[in-house]
Amino acid sequence: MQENEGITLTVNGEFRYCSAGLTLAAYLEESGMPRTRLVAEVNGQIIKSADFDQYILRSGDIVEFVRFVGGG
Amino acid sequence: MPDEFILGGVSLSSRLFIGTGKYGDDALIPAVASSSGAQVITLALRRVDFNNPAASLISHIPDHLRLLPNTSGARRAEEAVRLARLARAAGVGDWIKIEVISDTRHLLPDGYETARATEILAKEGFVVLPYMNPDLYVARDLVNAGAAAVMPLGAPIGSNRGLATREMIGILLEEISLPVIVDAGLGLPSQACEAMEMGAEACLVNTGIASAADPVEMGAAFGAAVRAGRQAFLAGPGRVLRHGAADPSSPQEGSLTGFLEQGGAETCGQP
Repeated sequence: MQENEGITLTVNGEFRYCSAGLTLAAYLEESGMPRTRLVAEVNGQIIKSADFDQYILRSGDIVEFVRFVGGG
Repeated sequence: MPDEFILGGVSLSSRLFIGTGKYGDDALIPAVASSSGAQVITLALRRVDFNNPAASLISHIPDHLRLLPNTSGARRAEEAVRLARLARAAGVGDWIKIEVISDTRHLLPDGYETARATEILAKEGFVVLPYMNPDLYVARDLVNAGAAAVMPLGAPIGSNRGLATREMIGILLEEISLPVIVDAGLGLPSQACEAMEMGAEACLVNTGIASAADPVEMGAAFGAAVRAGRQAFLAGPGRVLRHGAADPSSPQEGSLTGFLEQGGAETCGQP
């Protein structure tokens, strides 16, 4: 695969394209999303915010980003 | 001696837990936390909204509060387990309020799935606080599954209908050795006070406070009611007479009326 080739992902249930070689941290940054108190799940595996820089997204990944909202 | 509530190895001086849902403005939450005196606050986990990146509930929660994430949205035990693990990975500690609900009309919890999730998560070291129907057998299952407390509903979630399950909660208070934290449906401070008078260890109130015209004042009122109810419970309420019976509060002997009827007035004045 070429370095600049795009990849396809499913992020929070939606189909997304992004450039290859992007980490979870970079994906969030490109989306303008602060990573504080966020947690991710990639293909069912939990990834903590502190490890977002280590995980490089791959084509076909199913990604969930979750955070806290109001609840009882 | 201070009246502490030890839960999950943590000493709490406030027995009112509050929620973070349904506030018209999340910026009210610090003031409600302060007015209510709460030390434990619930929150939920949801997908990030990429269209609204700035929204952050956590930034409104004062640092001293213990976070109690819930597993709302889970319909089966496995989904609750997944949410609990995600919440812990998000760095909010190991307390988890289990909510497993597949009934979308009444929002009543599924006892079997709740007990299954409780067992898995307790083994993983979570302090598990399961939301439950006040059913004795479910409560026993939750005790055996390793719950840290049971959280029976007073009335359906968000209904503000009060202690509709009073009798059933009374049975749990008699039979279950774990702390009983009344959760859901408490719409007025008097209802929380009654739960505490009965012997509940704590109450969790979200809608009752958040839906009030002035949530900060209502938070203060609930805080006072929970303290009053606890104080009354510790004081030991007096006996309740059967219907139709009465017992005078004033002495029967020495009544002035009786004294007069017995002709006392004649000897009382000057001859």
